[in-house]
Amino acid sequence: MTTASFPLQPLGPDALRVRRLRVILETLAALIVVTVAVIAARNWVDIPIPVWGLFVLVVLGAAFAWWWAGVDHSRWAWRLTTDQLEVRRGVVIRRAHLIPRSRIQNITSTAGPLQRRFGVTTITVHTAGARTPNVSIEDLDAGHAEGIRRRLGLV
Amino acid sequence: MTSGGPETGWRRLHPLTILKELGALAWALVAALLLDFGQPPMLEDIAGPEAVISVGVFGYAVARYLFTAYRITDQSLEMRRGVFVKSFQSMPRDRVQAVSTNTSFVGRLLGITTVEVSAADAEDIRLGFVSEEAADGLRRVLEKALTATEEEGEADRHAVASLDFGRLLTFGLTETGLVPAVLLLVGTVVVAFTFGWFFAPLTFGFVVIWPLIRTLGLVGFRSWIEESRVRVEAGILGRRRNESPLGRIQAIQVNRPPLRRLLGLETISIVTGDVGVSSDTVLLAGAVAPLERIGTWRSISEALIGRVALGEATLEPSSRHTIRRMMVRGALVLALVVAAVGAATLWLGVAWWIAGVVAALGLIGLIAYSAARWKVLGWAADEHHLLVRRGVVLRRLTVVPIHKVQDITVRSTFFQRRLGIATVEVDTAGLMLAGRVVAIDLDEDRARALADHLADVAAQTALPDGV
Repeated sequence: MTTASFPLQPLGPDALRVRRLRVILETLAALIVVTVAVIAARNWVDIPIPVWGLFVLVVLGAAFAWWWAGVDHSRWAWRLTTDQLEVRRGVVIRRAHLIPRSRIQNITSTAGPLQRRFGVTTITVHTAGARTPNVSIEDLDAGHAEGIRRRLGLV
Repeated sequence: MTSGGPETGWRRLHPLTILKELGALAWALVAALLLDFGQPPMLEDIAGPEAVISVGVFGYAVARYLFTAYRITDQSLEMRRGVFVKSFQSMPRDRVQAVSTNTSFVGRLLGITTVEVSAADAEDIRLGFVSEEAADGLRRVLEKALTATEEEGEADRHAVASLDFGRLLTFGLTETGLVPAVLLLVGTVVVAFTFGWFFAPLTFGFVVIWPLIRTLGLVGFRSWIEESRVRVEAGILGRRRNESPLGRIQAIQVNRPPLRRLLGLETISIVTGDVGVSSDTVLLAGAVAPLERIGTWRSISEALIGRVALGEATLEPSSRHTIRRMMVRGALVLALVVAAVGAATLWLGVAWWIAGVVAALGLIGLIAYSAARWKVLGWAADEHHLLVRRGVVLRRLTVVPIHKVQDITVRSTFFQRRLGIATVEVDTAGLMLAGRVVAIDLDEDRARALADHLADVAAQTALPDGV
């Protein structure tokens, strides 16, 4: 088995779009929650800290999440060779998972509305290993996911 | 006991199971009593809500018993239960990882026992209670076909280990939990005599009871191999039996806790894919040889999983960088401790140099520990097995047949990458109670090579069900 003939594949640009869109949606949700909380709290107590500080915090958090999504996205990679699936991930703790094909028990794929809109899906590979679910690839191109399932004979 | 004809083969549990069901429904009876606003039930109240609920509970328990049945077919063990919500559980016989029976003292007098059949997932089939003879029949799910061996085959028996009284005593006295427990007890006795606080030792006496119970659970221990299954039996009052097909052993674990290591002894256990380790079996936790001379693991492993070419002499050390990694990690913790001690001494206005002493002692301890850890860490792999050793205090050696490996992870933290080292972690279908199987801090390229080797060998052996 030569891994050279099976180059590592990164996640597609759509994966990054989905992740950044998720950051935007979560930021909006956080802003709404903070706004409602501030309005509700004002009726009862004086807020001892400047209110704009809270919004700055949310925006800073969003900026960090935006940047982090890019860094994390660039660390994901996978390849399916003749006899194993390899998944690499992780920014601070880097992991390379190797799963022999003969050990794969089943593959599940899930896609939320946002993921479906961008044609990406999350696939999870289960083995009989005691730590389950064993490995997942998040926001993989639906075409690739289908290809992996087909090549593993699990369609 | 048989419900239905022989062609259906459905069997009920032992009638005394009703008592167990009642026990499980006891909350309803308690609730019924509480319904009466806490007043004790009066004689004239006997036809009140308590009585109605009690009869209902009893009826429900009987119904649950009547609706529970199991059968062994040529392919699988099946179980159906449930009065309102019906459940049907089916476990293919060739997936069974272990069968264990647990008989309490009272159970032995009444001739009833609990049987637990486990596969490599979390859903065990638990049958309790069944009669002793039904339990014997259930053990036969491990045999290939129902008709294969009708008579008891006593011929092919090969003893693995046993515990006589002297060794049982040694086992108990070398339990790691015993040392702090006894120290605690002695401490409280001293406190009791100094301050006259006489009930203190009573409470701490319970701490000693746990190692004691663990040891008592091993009275009469013996293990043997019969018809390519490893069987274990232990217990004097209550009795536990466990048997696993040899082909289902996922790993062999050798533990050498400090006291036992001092006496040159080790404990050898098997790890099977029996994921849901229940309270019944956790006492034994797969031990096949509780107390052996150090080095015996090899001959026992060979009896269980075939020839093992690797030995402790062939272990390769981890990268020396692991010493630095440990020291940096330890230094961070030490800095926090020293800062806390320093702040405390300043605040209390007592001798500030205590923090300095703590720092010096901590540093010496850390250096000694890091060096000792490097000496202990080791790994070896050939075409058939992976052998890893770890643990400065609780030393353990793990043998994994590579064809049992499910997936492999090479993991490196930020600091590990700076030192150019990585950890290889291996997952099998077996649940490791004593931690994961890892080769810690190898040089990056060696880690990758080991992972590739393991994945290659595992991929070449296609197991029928992957377990």
